[in-house]
Amino acid sequence: MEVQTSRFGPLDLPENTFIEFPWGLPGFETSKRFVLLGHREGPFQWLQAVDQPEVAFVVCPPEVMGLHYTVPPDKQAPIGIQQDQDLLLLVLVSFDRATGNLRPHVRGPLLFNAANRKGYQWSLENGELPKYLCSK
Amino acid sequence: MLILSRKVGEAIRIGDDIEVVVSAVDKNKVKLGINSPRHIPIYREELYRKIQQENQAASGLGEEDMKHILESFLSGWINSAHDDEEPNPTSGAEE
Repeated sequence: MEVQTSRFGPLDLPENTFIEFPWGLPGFETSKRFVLLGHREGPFQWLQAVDQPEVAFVVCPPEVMGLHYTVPPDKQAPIGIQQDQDLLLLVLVSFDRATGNLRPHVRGPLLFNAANRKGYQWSLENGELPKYLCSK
Repeated sequence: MLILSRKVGEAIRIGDDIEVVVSAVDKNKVKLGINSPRHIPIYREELYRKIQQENQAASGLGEEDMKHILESFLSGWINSAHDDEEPNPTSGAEE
């Protein structure tokens, strides 16, 4: 399927590479399908919306930012995780052009189920951060 | 907006599978219990808005930024501190 993107032009991508976000993302509720696009080098990827050419996020594995999450079973349930190895996490990254400062969005990691290619954004309450996130 | 009066212990039902129970009432605080299918994410409104804002901010990056991100990353310029968080001890999750 040809996916229109504002950053990379039209891309021809097989539909079995798409990831379904049943609830979209907060702020992007109508974006239900995404695709991960690798960057030439380094641990960062683009999470590109399939149906909104201008919607794309820079993401990376949380460990790259020194973040280690423990995901409780009830937070895995929305995407139907059956086996631990199917659960994948990515965090969104912000970048401040003025300072060159790179900041992961610690509070809203993206959870993926590799088995059914579904994803959603887990949002941690203040009280949950120390419980489920270990940063070093 | 639909407004309903409920007493402690009473509930409302949304659709056929979501039940919201008033479990306790204080002066200006209400505790709600929510029974819903496990697959539906539930948020406090203010947290949802916060994540919305964060996502909006993250979506503004372009290809040029990606280059700088990689450079910053390679030079170790990461801020993983929770400095975007406003302390709000009253909104902690309660089971």
